[in-house]
Amino acid sequence: MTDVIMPQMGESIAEGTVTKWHKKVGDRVERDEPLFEISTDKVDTEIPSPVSGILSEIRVGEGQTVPVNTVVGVIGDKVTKVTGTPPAVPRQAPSPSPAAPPAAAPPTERGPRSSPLVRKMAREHAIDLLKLSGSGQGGRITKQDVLKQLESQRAPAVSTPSKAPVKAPAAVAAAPPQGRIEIAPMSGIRKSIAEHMVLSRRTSAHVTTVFEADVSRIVQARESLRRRFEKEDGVKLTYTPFFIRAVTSALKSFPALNASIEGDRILYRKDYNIGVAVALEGGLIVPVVHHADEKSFLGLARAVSDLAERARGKKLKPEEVQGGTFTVTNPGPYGSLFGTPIINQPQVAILGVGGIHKRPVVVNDAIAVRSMVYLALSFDHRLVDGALADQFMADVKRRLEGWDEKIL
Amino acid sequence: MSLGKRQLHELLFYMILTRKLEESLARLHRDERLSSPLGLRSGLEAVSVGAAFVPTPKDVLASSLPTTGALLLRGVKPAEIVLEFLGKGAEPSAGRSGIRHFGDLGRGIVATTGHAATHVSVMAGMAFSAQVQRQDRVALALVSDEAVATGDFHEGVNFAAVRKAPLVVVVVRFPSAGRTGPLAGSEVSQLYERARGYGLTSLPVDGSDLLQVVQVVETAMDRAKTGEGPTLIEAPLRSSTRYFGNDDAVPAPFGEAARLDPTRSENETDVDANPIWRFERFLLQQDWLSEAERTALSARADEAVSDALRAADAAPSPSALALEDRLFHRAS
Amino acid sequence: MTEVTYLEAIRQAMWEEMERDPRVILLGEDVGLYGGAFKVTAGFLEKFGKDRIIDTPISEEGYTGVAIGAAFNGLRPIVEFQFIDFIANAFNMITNFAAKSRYRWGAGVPIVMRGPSGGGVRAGPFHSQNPEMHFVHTPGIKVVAPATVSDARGLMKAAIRDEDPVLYLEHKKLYRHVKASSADLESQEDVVPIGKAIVRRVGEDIAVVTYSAMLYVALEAAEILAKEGIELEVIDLRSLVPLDKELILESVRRVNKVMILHEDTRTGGMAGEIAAIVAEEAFDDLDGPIVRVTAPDTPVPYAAALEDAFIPRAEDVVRAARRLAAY
Repeated sequence: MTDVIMPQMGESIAEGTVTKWHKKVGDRVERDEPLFEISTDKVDTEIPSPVSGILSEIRVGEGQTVPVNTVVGVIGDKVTKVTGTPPAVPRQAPSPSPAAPPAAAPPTERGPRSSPLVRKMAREHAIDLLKLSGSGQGGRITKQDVLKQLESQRAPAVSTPSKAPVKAPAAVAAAPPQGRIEIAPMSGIRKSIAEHMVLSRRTSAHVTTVFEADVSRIVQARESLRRRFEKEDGVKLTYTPFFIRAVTSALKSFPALNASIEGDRILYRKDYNIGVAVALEGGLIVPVVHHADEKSFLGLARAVSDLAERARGKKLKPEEVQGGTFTVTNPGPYGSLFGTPIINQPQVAILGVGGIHKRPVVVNDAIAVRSMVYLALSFDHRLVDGALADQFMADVKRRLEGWDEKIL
Repeated sequence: MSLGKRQLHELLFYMILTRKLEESLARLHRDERLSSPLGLRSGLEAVSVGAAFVPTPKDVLASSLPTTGALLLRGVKPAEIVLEFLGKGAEPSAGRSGIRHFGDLGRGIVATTGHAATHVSVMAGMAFSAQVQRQDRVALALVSDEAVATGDFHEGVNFAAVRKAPLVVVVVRFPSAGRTGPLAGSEVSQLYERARGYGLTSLPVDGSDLLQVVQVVETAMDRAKTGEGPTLIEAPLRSSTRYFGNDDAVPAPFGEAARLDPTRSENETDVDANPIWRFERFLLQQDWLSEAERTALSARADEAVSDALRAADAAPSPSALALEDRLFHRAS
Repeated sequence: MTEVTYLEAIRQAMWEEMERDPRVILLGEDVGLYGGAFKVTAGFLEKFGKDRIIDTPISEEGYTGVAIGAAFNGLRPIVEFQFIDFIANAFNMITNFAAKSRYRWGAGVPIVMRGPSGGGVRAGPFHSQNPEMHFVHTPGIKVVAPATVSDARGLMKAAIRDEDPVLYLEHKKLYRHVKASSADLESQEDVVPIGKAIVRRVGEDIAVVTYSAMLYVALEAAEILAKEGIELEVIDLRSLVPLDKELILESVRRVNKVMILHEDTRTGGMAGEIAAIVAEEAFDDLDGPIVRVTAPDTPVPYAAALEDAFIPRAEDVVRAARRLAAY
């Protein structure tokens, strides 16, 4: 078995992106035959195979960036299910690499590529870079992208009382804190969250309505599906896809909750891109399942699982945290019944799903132990009235409680 | 030049002061108050004092040799010299220049860079500019014989020769024992031949004899002032020892103690080789100096040295805040 | 109204300063009888006499030393190096004697050292160099490199009047190729301050920092790029020491992308120094990497095909600008 590694293409180059695999797992490859292509800061190039054999494993897929010397694949010498001699693959001439531009490598696990200037502008104007799409090389966010964003933000929100600059408000408390204090700087992600949360609260007229739902059927369904999904499809099944499914269907009946406000216009979104909040160390991130309504249940589960994992591994692409129309969040496993979440701008609603606990409830005049969950919907009262919000929630509840295998 | 008794005593005083001052520097080094190698030399007193005695305050002098005496003659106080060695100097050097690179245009001293002969063309420039500005002014450059091999020496002397500029170059030849270098062991005639190559005169002088040095420098300066151009003076020393410091004991005949040592040799050759003893002997023989006067001069020198050391001790080190000052001219 | 060449402007400036101040003298090889290898000083000997116009022997180190001595003695010497390449022979005198003199013992050295620098005229490795960095790197020496006719004149006057050693780099290719009208010249300030750069072209996409003959390469590239919608801001440094850091940084803060262009070789060139300053002091204002367009690290070759590839051209600037603009 031979490890195939990400090569170092120059003294100062520390990482590379796999842009294309020329072989699939199971393919035969000859020594020196082009095996995969990489892109680095200095050059894009084909990498020949170090040995002859069978590509038995691909560890780093296309579009992924890894440090130099990372094992990207493994070549073994067992020939699988081939009769006769392996077909001779003609040696390809390497394609001429284009004159290397001052390459902006594709986005890495650090988030969307930007520049010092862009980051400075984002800080000064409390812009979430994760929400922008970059028009620069490799998806880099450029100064122009930020300027455009600033211009579109400048359209004032109608009911926002103050026209104060879009920064976290200056500390209201005049007196400095007394007593023993330890000072620690804010991380970038923390600052970003801080600014966003304050902004959101000042932008939307937040109201929260709370429902409870009997999700016993969902618990059962998850139990029976979990093993199958894991074994056959390699997908970890959590409760989230269930809630997303219910929410997505309900949103179709209540389009006002899948909208956003722009000045004095309402933008009803026809896409159902459901954001799923994922807790990270020191903050949170909201990857988005795009077109959640078009996915099969398995596909939904797979998308959620994949996004969550990559969110925690900081491997999300910029487009994966952009474009959400509604968000689902979960306060976590620490025992909270429900929270009153803050809306993820520019959306108008966010569903907080509490912990699923077994509780005694009255069913048909008898006491039964059911799996119950609190659902807290925060919505923007500028657009959504309480009655409408409650109707939406009633629909969500109905769908959750009446979970049917047929939905799959 | 006719010298009265007072002037003769002054000359002797400066030679003695030179010696005692350098010895005190040697002691400072031994006591680890200075860190760089001293590079001082005994035996230079006649050239040092003699070559600097003749020029007037208008004239300008530069020396790449450790000619402490020349500085003293030009009005540099002993304390200033000690301060320079301690790196504590006041203006103009303010501790920046390094030892034995003292300079002050106001007192007609051009600081050298420590290169053997880089200053020769600079002094040629001073001479030439004095000439074209009709200033009654001579430039003197003191170098060692080894410097004669450098391109700098050649280019500077050549330029001055071509323009007949009022430049005097004193080439001090050190005793050849233990030395390497192109002119080590060379005879007087070699410099003479070289001088002829420039169309110049070379005047030989016994570098250990103060009065001879004074006489020859005077001749050379007169020639310069009358437009006859540069003169090279070749001044071999009978004896000279170097003192760098480090572990060297303060060597004889550095030691003034050697002079007072009653067991010292009265060998004429030894006396001839020591410019101070030699001059003293001359003065004593001519009855132009008494023992008492000699003792008084010595005491005066001692006092000057201890004053200098005291003042230097009291002075502050240069401030690091001033590090970047005075790189360029600042209009006030 | 007459046309004045870059060479003429240098000539005029020296002539006027020598008329104005009797302390100004000129030393160099063939400057007197011959009038200078490029005829910059034709007529000077007849006008100012042999005590002020000095034909020196071939001894760059020596006559630079003479100039220093003369400066100590109240004169204001201009030292000519017939080709600036020969300044190498005076390296010791300049860097050890002149540069450190004021700093270490308070004696200023008001000399001007000048000579034709630069290539593009098929003169080979020893008559085409740009030696500025050896002296930029030595504290105590000012370095100027005029690109225009009026700067050639104004900076020469400033250099002569300056109390410190000034290295004045004339670009030999500009001597007769760059002209201005005398009326234009008259309307300009007499003396151009040393240490101040100037914006020659305002733009908003990329700032090109350059000096000397490369100014014209930058402007040519700017014309080409303007048609593609890329607007270059062109900064002419004029002085390398002192460097007008503030003007460069102000431009970077506005334009956010910067390229540095010089004819000098790459490693240890001014571009590296400026790139470091920009990265240190304007990091948060950069929307792209700092790019350098320079000659490669070789001696200046003689053959036309080689020299043309050696010296940066407008197309090199255009290509680099396109990539930087797209970043």
